[in-house]
Amino acid sequence: MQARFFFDARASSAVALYLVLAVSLAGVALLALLSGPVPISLMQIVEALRPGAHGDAAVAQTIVQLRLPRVVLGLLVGAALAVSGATMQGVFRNPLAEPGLIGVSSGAALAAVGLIVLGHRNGWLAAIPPVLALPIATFIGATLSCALVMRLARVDGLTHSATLLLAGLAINAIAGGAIGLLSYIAADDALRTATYWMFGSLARAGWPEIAVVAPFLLLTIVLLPRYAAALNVLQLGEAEAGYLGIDVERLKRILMLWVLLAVGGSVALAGAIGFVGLIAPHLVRLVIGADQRRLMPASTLLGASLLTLADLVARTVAAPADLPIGILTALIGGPFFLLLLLRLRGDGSMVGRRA
Amino acid sequence: MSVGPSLSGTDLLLTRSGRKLLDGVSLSLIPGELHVLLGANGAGKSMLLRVLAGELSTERGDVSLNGRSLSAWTPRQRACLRAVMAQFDSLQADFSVAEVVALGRYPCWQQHPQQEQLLIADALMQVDALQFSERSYTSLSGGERRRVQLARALVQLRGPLPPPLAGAPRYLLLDEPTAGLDLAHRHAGLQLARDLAAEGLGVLAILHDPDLAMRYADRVTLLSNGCLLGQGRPQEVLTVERLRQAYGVRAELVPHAASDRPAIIVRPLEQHEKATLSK
Repeated sequence: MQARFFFDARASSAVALYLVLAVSLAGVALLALLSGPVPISLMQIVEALRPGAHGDAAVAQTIVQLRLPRVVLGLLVGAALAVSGATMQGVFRNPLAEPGLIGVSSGAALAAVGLIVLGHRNGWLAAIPPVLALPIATFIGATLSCALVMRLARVDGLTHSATLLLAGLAINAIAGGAIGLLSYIAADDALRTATYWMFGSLARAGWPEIAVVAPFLLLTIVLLPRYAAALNVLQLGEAEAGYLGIDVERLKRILMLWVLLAVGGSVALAGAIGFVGLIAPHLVRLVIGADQRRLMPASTLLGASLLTLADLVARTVAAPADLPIGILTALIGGPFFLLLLLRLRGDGSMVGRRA
Repeated sequence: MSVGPSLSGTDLLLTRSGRKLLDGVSLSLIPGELHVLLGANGAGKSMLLRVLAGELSTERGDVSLNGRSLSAWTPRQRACLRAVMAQFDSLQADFSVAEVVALGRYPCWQQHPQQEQLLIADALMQVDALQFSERSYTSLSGGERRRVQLARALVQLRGPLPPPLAGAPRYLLLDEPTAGLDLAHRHAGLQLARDLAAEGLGVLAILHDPDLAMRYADRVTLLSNGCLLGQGRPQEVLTVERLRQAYGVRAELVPHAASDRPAIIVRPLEQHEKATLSK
């Protein structure tokens, strides 16, 4: 019976993809731990970290305090951005939706930069430890910009994708201008910090910051894929999803809240990093199709690898200088995305194609 | 209106931006019947269907599903009991045909995966789409898409119901199921609707051709400007005068050799005839 083989082809390619992604994730993470200004071998790490060992204390220090937090940060932020991107593309039924494109990241970054540049002038704001103040500010910034964009794109109770992207573009421009203005009036050290938030960097956050924000990111990474089946149904259209028993408005509100937590948290830790949330789901879709149940976990794995790899390049390519990672993801991700666009132009839109 | 279970709207009033889209319309969809909804463009057919589906709420009048107000059912329960095929579809994601049909199973009492796949294959076969079940949905033609959407709505009403609902009658609401279908598939689709009704489903279909309604319907409802123009057996409702009122056409009812129902032949009104109509 033909029926038995309906879903088998894609299911097996999904399993293969999971395997490849998991292996490359482990490989990239290990490579990132070993590489740096001082090359460290795997044996040295094992020696230094073995309980009660008498390994090199400097090696242990480098690994635990410098490289491991960066790797963990890369994995977490990459995964959170990718799964957020996959979710937003599903919610808006538009493959262009991405935290960076609809103004969420830049709103969060503006809030972060605003806090850094202006915060110390305000007595009670300065009293909150930055470890807490930054995530709160970025979350508020992400929420405000997202609410504004969604409100602007909403006409007669329907969210218009084209308006949404245009509104996002405008918010990006405004936030970019405001950040520029802030950096103009900022003191030198605040300016350096602000630059990091504009372009993103995994160098700033250490264990304390990670400890505050990581639970939110982990929760999003685990919870968002649970909505995959509902997101699949939503692709039929909002009315159709309603006919199939889904409370669409509630679903959208819940998902956007999780995305805001993920993006706000990511920006608090690493600044505005573009393209990961856009490219990871696209690459996965090319291989295994649009089924969100497979797309979301696979995008999470790929996003984590991509960002960790990008950070590895950012800190080694011009060592000892540490390039802002957002510059790198944009410089590599942009042309790559254009290539994808050109290659796919022949056989229909990027949404409508099939491997 | 009826004693047994049904999907019924009673004395519905629906206004949007000051315009009355439905005014005093009642419709009772009975299990085992193919009920065809007719009317000119903008007569309120789709609005009535969307009210019965629970998508739009009315200013007056209530919709009841199997004896209980529609709002008393949870969205999930509603989805188990009635499926809707909308007039337009906007699916752009890269799904295969089989994957699209599988989405129809979302609210249902899921069975063993193999049984689920058989169910999907069966529905695809009924709409003559099994041969392209693995193609991309977005690569299909308009008519092929309609057939796949019909299969998607069909699987929603298949398989066992969850225990509290077991045995309850189910309803299929089709907004222009024949639009874009070729001649053979149009008739095959309507025959399928009849077969489904014979299996016990209540089927509501919006059609544009009164002749098709005459051929296939157990019951018709004719709307004009949001009001009920006629309701009942097609031979009684589809008269020359009512077709003229509803569509502004001159119809001729011709005895049909192979059927006790007449064929309807239509020609547009001349200018002077239109003038008398508007008087």
